[in-house]
Amino acid sequence: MNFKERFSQAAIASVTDIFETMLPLKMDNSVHQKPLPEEMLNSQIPRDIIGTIGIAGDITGTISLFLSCKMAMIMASLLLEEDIQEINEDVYESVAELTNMVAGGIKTALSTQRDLFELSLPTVISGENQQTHYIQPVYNITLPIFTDRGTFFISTVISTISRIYQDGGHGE
Amino acid sequence: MAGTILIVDDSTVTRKVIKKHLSKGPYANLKVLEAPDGQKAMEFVEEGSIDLILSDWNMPKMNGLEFVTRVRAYEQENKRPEDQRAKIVMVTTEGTIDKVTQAMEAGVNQYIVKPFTAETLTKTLKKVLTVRV
Repeated sequence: MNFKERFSQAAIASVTDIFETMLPLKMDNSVHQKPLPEEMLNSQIPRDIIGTIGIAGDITGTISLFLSCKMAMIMASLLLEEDIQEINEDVYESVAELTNMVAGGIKTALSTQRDLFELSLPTVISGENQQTHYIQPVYNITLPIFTDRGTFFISTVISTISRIYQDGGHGE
Repeated sequence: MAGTILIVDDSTVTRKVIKKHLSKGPYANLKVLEAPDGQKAMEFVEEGSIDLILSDWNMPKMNGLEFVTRVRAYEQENKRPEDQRAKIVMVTTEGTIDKVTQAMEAGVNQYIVKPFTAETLTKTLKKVLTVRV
């Protein structure tokens, strides 16, 4: 299994765990959840709200959630068990915490012997037509997560990576 | 069941979720205090008796590991008897063996990895609160 596949699998496992415990959403199993091809990265992703967490260690980069306002409100409502109909602090805080949980789950899944990377505190960005630009990433793994209530995206951008973790290597 | 619980987490969402879980279970009567980081939480610890602490790991100002280390040092400096020391549960997204080991060595009693269910929280509290409160 190559690096992209390992990261994607870890991301799906992390989200599945969240869905089974704190966020009652169902993954749409009729769709194969796999990374978007590079040519679709700029056109297909909603950018109303972006939750980002930095990672640093043997791998450096960012793990981000990209959501529409609607999806962010649905997820915040489910997480807090409240009916949230507008973008407010609870929505931003929910996106931050979900980003944190997704990133933590990915880290735990990939770090079998020692911590592969450390996590920063999450940041949430909101506004119209947010554009993201990454300087020469080694990998950009953007995974759509299709659920029964809508779609959101997990985007992992790796800017540096130890050679032992690159394709084919397990680093453990 | 009475007593005081201190929830330490920079995420207001996590604090709300924990409070909701507590309010529905056997620990609904616990007095709940909240702090957004270890620094503020340490003030509560020094002000009075806390029976149970639920602490996140990654927080601004003072992280969870440093906070736990300071709580245990404070209890030792003040010669607090073993059975009167706060029970500490780390509640964090940090789920690697490295992190769990560090936390336990610092004096954490139990460890919950986020995401978690209400049932996991209740079962964990039951384990740590059998002696006190």
